[in-house]
Amino acid sequence: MSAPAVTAVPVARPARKHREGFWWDALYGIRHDPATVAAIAVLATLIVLALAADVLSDQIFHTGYTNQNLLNTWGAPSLSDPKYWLGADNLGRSQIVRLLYGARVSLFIGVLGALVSLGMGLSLGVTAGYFRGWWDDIVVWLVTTIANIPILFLLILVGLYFRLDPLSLSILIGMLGWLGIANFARGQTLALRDREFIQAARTVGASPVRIMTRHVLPNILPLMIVLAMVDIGGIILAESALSYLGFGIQPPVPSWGNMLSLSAQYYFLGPHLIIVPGVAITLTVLCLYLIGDGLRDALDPRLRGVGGRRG
Amino acid sequence: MRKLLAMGLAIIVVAAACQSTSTPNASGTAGAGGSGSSANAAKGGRLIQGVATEITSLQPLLSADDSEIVWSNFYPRILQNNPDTGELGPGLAQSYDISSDGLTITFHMRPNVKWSDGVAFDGNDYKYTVEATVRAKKPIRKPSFNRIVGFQDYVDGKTDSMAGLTVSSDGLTVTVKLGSTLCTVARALASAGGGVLPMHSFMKYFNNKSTDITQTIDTAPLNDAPPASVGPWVFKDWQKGVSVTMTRNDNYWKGAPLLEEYVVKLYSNAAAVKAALLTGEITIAPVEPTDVAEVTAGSQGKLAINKQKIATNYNYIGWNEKAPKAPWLAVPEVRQALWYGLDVKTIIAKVILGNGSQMYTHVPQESWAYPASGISTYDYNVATAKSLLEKAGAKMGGDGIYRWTDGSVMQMRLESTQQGAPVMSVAQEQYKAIGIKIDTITESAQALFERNDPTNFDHEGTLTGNSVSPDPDGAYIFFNANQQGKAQFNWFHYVNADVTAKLESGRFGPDCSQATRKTLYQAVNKQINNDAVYTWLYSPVSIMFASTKLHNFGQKPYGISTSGESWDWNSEKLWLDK
Amino acid sequence: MGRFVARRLLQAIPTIFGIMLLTFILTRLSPSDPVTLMVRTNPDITEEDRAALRQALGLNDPLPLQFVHWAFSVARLDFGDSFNYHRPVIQLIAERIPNTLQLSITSLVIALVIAVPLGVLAAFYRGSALDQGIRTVSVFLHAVPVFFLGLLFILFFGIQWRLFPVGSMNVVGESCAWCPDRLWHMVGPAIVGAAGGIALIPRVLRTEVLEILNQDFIRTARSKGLRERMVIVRHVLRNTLIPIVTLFGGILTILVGGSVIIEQVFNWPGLGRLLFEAASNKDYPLVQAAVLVTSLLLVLSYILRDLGYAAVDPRIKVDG
Repeated sequence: MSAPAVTAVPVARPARKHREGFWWDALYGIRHDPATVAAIAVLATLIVLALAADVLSDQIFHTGYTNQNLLNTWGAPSLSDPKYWLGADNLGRSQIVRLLYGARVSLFIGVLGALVSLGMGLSLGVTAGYFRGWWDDIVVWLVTTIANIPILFLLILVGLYFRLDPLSLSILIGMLGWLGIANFARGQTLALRDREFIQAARTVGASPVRIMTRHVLPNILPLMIVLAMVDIGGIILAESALSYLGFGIQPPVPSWGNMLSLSAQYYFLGPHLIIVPGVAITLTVLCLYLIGDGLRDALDPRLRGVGGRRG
Repeated sequence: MRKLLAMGLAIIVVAAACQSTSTPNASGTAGAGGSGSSANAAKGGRLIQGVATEITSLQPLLSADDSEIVWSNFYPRILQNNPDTGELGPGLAQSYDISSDGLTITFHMRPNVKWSDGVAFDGNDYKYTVEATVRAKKPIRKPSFNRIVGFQDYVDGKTDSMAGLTVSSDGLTVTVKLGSTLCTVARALASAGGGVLPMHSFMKYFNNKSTDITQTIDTAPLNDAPPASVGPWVFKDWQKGVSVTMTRNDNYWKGAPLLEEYVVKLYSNAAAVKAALLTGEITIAPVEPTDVAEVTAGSQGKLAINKQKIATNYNYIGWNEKAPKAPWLAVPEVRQALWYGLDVKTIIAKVILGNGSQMYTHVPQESWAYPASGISTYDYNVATAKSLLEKAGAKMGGDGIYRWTDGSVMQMRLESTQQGAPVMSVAQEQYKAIGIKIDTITESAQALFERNDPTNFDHEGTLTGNSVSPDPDGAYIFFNANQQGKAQFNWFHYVNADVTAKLESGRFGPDCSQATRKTLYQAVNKQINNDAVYTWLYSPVSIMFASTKLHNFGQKPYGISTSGESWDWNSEKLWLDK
Repeated sequence: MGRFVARRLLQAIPTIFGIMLLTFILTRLSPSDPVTLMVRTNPDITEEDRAALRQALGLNDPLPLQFVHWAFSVARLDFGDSFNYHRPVIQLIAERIPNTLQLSITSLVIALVIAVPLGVLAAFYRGSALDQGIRTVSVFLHAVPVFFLGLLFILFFGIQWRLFPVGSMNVVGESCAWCPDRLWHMVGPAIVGAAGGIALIPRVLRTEVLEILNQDFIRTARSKGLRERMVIVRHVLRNTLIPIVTLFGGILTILVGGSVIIEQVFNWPGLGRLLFEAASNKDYPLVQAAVLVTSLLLVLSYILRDLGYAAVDPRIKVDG
């Protein structure tokens, strides 16, 4: 996390001609890994359910995420009415519908946040590794500085001043969470920049931008994407922690974090209100880690343990 | 967060409050109420009270928050509220007189009262406290005393004593001269400075008989370790962030407490307090209405519930009459429609499970300032709400939401703290039914304070709470058109010249008689109800659970201080089974 | 070694500067007026009182100057007075640091005691059911939100079964730092806090140990007929010290960052809870100082880690 000199960074293999082939290898690798396959299946189901939240709540549950029923507050799960399959919250709102919309919010924040940190991490890391010199010093300085401030503290500090909606929150988390990717991208680029194929490109007069986008990036992108995928889980956890403390997504928009935060006040009245979103977060993050792990093993077993946890 | 926040919503702490001073109640023994039989009372034992708040300071001059729960046990005010009626009664001062021109007030201190360290208490301690307050660099409580003759000269260091504040040679008579009439003088001077400090202990850090204004009490090390007490309990130990321990004061003028120790234990939130109560870690604590069933079931008969309707605060939704994004809020019919459109009775029954009594204006129905007639109750009625909106000029749009006269969609924000979120969500749904779209914002109490500051106009509806003083003058800061400066409390920009004039005469006279003030305040309370300045909701019931081993415990309507957790009207009489 | 220490300390200076700059800028982003916040509970404040306070707080100076002033006061450990507590911020923080350190170090020890053997075992029995089980536990702990784990602990072990205290640091009247009562209260928060470390260590350690086991000198040692246990003790465990020390950094970040949550859930009166309360109350000087001090503590612990790293790994050139 801090002094980059300490960790030996494994070097990616040289460029592959066909990116499809690369991913195909990965898929081939995880085909025999039942845990990863199961995780992919579960996650895919979750994504489909989240995307279909509108349709499902309209057609099956006949209620929205804000619709209340004060006659069924803290209702226990019941099979008789679809909308109360997972019970009702303190305002009699359908827990299952809120869970679906919460999935949408949490996954949105996770994916967008990971994309932002992938973008920032790659652009800063690759340029730093390629140009070295003062720019590298600045990037390393930024990385070490931010790495020394616990990310949750930084988020609380910013959450003090700005009311965060899912969009701004994911951008913010992404902007604070690019360190791991930048560090890694920088290390890879440093190792690659003196390889023959890059030196060759340089001698034929290719511009730095071209070299970085055409030669460096394709080599490191797959691993970076795997890292970013694991990051999605970390970001979902960070969001839930922030929402638990009351600085995250504001009600009535449900996120799994603020659903848990709300039900934590009522853990006597509705334990199911804690268990359900808690299990949802755990399951999703678990799937993401398993997939990341599986892909990583398939791509390069040396990468295990890279990428950190937040929150 | 303070308990009131947990129990209700953000609370505006009302510092200045007053009570009829025309009939000073000179006799009577405070603290006699509810004593019960203590013939077989056991001595000793430790009472642990759980609170969901943080204690920030034990120096009253620097603290205007929940820390009062603790320091009020050492440094009481010189006059105390009658816990049943809220009337200002005797305390360390056993009586007081006000001159016929209303400009001089004389406090008669109780003789033979001793601090816990044996030093005699007298009027000089009061004078010292006032002078220490006005010379303090931090202006938390300073302005409470700015009407006393000689205030500014003393603050500036031109004099070594406040000219308008004199103590007789025996120390038992304190005379205060004011520059102008104040109907609320007794309450203001008795309470606004916090409690009385032990002059003999603090003298070495701040000498009040000096003209050196660089010397202040602000940094005295004793601020966080109160050296002596003139209340029921003596400070023993403050484990920061964990608990404050107090032991009994054998010199307490009402008699030494029966318990040996009284501990205030601090928790990060109401759920943690509840868990501690269930596991027997604490003896007594407040509980949310929604948790009563669980605590009752989980306590295995070891805890007893104590409910008390309290008269010191209420919750409401305020509507900003100068909201640029919701011009319709300036129209009384619209605000009335918003009141008709909210099913307050169901909210009381279902959200707080019946633990509240509905409010219709700034004072409860029992108050002498509640008008005999002319109050609208705005019973839930969607049709009436809609017709009022249409009368005001709104037109129904195709989407079921009204359009205002300028064509804009009638959509606005409603904000509150986390504790207000359930009621807010209900309001959001119910207003949809009368064709008004609401977006909700949940924020911290402090953010709420900032956003609703009268100098800020960017808020539409705010669900929050007001604390109410026993005297109807409490309405002054909320409904007076002149109270719209920074950090003042006319958050919703209510301007009514007649109401303002009546509030001014109620506070500043010249006629401070009860009959006159009654007429004034009844008119005010009727007008703000008819104008629907707020959508008044309810005054919450205070629920506490206490160990069944605890005797003589009971809450009183006014036994709860503004900070909500104090029932210290008889803490010296509490006792525990062995 | 002395030169290494000096160099490492010098390296930390830009980082510390960056942290100070960032916390300063972030707190000055605030749209709200600190003076208003300071006096918010007093309805009778005059405009003059306000102006005087503003002047006294130096809020009228240009921003860079404010930063320089602030930086110099920070160097003197003067963070100003808390809006809420009306006391010097540094006092408040100093009161809470021991509590946070005590909990974090205990969590760290628990994490190491549980996770290091798990990591070594997973490597030795690679591919076995044990290895799979350890992997499952560590991935699960990685995925579960800390506060959810804490809530479950309180719900079941605290309230349902009454096995452990539901929070707080000690019972009333027992305030010594390492007495049994304190340890008893630490069980919940320390174990839940250790979860992050237990998730992280075995995964990394397993890989490292596998690598060591495959190295030539171990094979040589084995082929020489040394007993397996001796091999483990002599080579493997000694060599795993390096990745463990490396991991310290990550685990410390998890522990310190997680302290806000753990201390809030378990009502532990440490720096994290102080920060949370300060943030809820918009007590800017306190928030700023808490973030800064925590970060500086992290910088310091990274320096210590690197020194430890240099000490355990003879291959590291100390001038690197």
